[in-house]
Amino acid sequence: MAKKDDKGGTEEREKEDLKMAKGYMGKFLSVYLNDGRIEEERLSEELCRDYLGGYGIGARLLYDRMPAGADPLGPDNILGFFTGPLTGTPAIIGSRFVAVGKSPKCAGGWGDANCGGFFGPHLKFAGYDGILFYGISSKPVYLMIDEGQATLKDADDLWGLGVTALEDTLSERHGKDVQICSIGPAGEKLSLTACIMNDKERAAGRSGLGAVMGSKKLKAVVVKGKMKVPLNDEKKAKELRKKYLKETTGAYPVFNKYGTAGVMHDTVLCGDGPVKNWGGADTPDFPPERIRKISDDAVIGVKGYKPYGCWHCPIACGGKMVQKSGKFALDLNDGVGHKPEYETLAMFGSNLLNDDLSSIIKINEICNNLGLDTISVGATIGYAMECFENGLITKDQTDGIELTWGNTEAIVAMTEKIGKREGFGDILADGIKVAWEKLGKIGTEYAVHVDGEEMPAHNPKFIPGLATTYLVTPTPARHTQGGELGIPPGLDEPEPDKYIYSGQADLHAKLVAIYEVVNAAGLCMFGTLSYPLRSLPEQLTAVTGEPYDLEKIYEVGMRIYTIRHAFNLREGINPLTRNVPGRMIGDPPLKSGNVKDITVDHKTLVTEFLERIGWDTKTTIPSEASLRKLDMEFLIDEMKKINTFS
Amino acid sequence: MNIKLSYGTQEILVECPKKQKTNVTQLFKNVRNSHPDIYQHWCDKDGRIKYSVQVFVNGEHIRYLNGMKTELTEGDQIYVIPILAGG
Repeated sequence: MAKKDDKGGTEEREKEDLKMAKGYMGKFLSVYLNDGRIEEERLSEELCRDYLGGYGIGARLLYDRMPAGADPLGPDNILGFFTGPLTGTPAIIGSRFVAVGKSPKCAGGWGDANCGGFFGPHLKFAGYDGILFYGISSKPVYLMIDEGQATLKDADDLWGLGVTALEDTLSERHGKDVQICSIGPAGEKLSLTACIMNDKERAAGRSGLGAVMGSKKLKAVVVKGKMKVPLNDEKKAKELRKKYLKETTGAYPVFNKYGTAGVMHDTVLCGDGPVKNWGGADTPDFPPERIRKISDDAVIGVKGYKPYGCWHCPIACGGKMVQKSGKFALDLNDGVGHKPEYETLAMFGSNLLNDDLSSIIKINEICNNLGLDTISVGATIGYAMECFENGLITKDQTDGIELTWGNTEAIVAMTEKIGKREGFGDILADGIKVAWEKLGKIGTEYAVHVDGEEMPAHNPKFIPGLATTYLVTPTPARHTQGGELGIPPGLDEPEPDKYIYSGQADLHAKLVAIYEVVNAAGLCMFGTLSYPLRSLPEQLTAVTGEPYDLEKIYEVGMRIYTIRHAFNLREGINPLTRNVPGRMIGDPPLKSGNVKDITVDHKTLVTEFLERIGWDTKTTIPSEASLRKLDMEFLIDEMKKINTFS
Repeated sequence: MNIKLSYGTQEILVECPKKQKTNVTQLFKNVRNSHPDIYQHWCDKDGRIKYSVQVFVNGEHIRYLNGMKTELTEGDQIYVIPILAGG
C-alpha cells in the first residue's frame, strides 16, 4: 500500500508518530474501486484537532476531494466510514462510527448516517480511523482489513445475500472475531431507503447511503484486529469511566430497562410520536391501551428477551427476543430477532395504527436482513396507506394488497416487497418523494418528508425546536442531530417556553454544537442523555490531550456543522428552499389530541437561529466574520462564488 | 384525599388535604414532601416544572386546561412524562 498524509504528500513515519493526535490510529485508507488500488493516508493533527472525527473529518475531506455536481450514484461520489477519537476507548459510550457521502436522497446534498454496534471500535483495532471508497468496482467486492493489511476480495458469491447469511458466511470465512459492515439486497438494488448494516441488526439508516454503497458494488467491509488505541492519559480515561458509571442520571433508568421501547407509550400519548401518518392524534386514534401493546413491558416481556449492548456500553438499550411460532415467526438466526427501537415501533406501529407487536418484530427482521431504513419504509407505507384510503391508488396497483390502516399482513408483505423492489414495492423503495413523483404527484399533503428525507418519529408540534433541526441541518429531517430531543443533564442554561418562538436561538445553537461533537467524537447520544454533560469535555481531554471545555465544544461543533453546510451550499442547496410539510408544523393544526391547535412558527425559529450563528437569513451563507471566528477562512472565497457576501 | 400520579409504568399516591382545593402546583409541592427523589427529576430548585416534563390530567395536557392552576379532585388521573429521545 502507498503511504501519504491527508494533504497528499509523503512524510517520514517516525516524525508523524510523534505528532500523531491521541485517540486516533493516525491513518485512514483510500480505496480506489475502479482499479483496486489501496493507499494508506496519515491523518494530520490539524484535521483531528479542528474537525474531531466522524462526519467532521469526513465532511472536511469530502469537501476537498469531491467535485460539486457529482452524481450520488456515480463514480465521483466518495463513500466514507469514520470513527471518532473516543471510539474504542474507555469513554462512555465510545461505540460509534459515521458513514458519509453525497446523498442520493436530499437533492444531492450532504449525507451521513451514524451507527453503533461493534464495527467502529474494531475498525480502529484493525489499525484505521476511517476509510474512503472512490469510484465504482467493475464487479462486486468486499474489503477485508486484517490488522493493518487491507485487501479487496471478490464478492460475486455474496451478492444477493441478505445481511444475516452474508455475515454468517464472512465469519465462517475469516473468523468469528471479525466485525462487518454491509448492505443487503435493498442497497444492491440502489433503493434510496437502503441502509448500511452492522452486527446484523444495527443500522446506519439515513441519507440513502446503502444505495451509494450498492452503486459502488461494495458488498461489505470486514475488519479484524487487536491494535491498541493510543490515549493521551489512559489512567485518567479509565478513572473517568469508573467515576461516571456511578453517576447515571436522566434517561438512564428507562434506556437501561427498556431501551427506547420505554418511551413509546409516553411519546405517542403526549403528541410527539406519529399517529396515522401524522394526520391522526394520540388518544382519539391510537389510545393508551393500544400504545401499551407495543411499548415498554410488552416489548421486554416477549419470550426469551435478553438485553443487548453495543461495544462496552453500560446502558445496553438493545435486546434480543425469540419469535419462533405464530403468523409472524422469525425465519433467521434460529427465530431470534432484535428488539425494535422506538423509531421502528412508532413508524410501523402508531404511524400505521398497528398495535400488533409480533408483526413489528417480524418487520424489524425483514428490514435488518434486506438492509432497509425502518424510519423511511414505515413513513413511505404510511403515505401509501393514506393514498389508498382516499382512493388515490387501488388494489390493482398495490399487487392486490389492501393497504388499510393496521392491516398487519399488508404491512409485512409490502415491507418485503420494498426490500426486494418487487411490484408496488418498486414504486415505494426510493421513499415518499420518489413514490409521489412516480404516482403522478398524488396526495401531496400526505407526503411528509423534507427534501426527500422522511420525517422521523418526533414531532415539531410537540418540540418546536425540531422544526429548525429538520429544516436547517445539513441532513434534513434528522432527529439525532440538532439536539432538541433532550437537554443534556448538567447543561446549565435557562429553558425557554417552547411555544414562545422568539428567544430560543441561543440554546438551539449550543445544543447543535454539543451534538455535533458527540456524533463526531464517536459517542452515542444516549450517553449524553444519561450521564452529566461535564463528562464530555473531561473524557475528550483525557483521551486526546487537547484541553476541552464547553466553549471549545461550541467552537468545534459549529465548525463541523458549518463544513457540512458548506458542502450543501456548493451544491446549490439553500435549506430555506426545502419543502415544509404542513403536517410537520401543524398547518393546518390538528383538531384533537395533545398537540391540537398548534402551528409552529418555524420562520421565527429559523431566522433567529441563522442570525445567532452568523448565517445570512436569506441565502444561509455564513458571514465572513463567522468563518474567521471558526478559522475557516479557506471557505470565504468559495462562498463568494455562490452569492454576494453578507 | 389521595391523588394517583403515574409516570412511565410506575404509580404513586400523593396525599392532599381533603378540605382544601388542590391544583397541579399544590400537588407537586406535596410530591416534594412525600417523594423528594422523584420530585428532583421533575422540578427545578425554584419549584418550576422542568421544560422536559409534561403533565396530563385525565389524558389532556394541562396547557389545554388551566395550566399549573388546573384544579384536581379525587379520582383524577395525573400522568407525568419527561421528554426522552427515542432512536
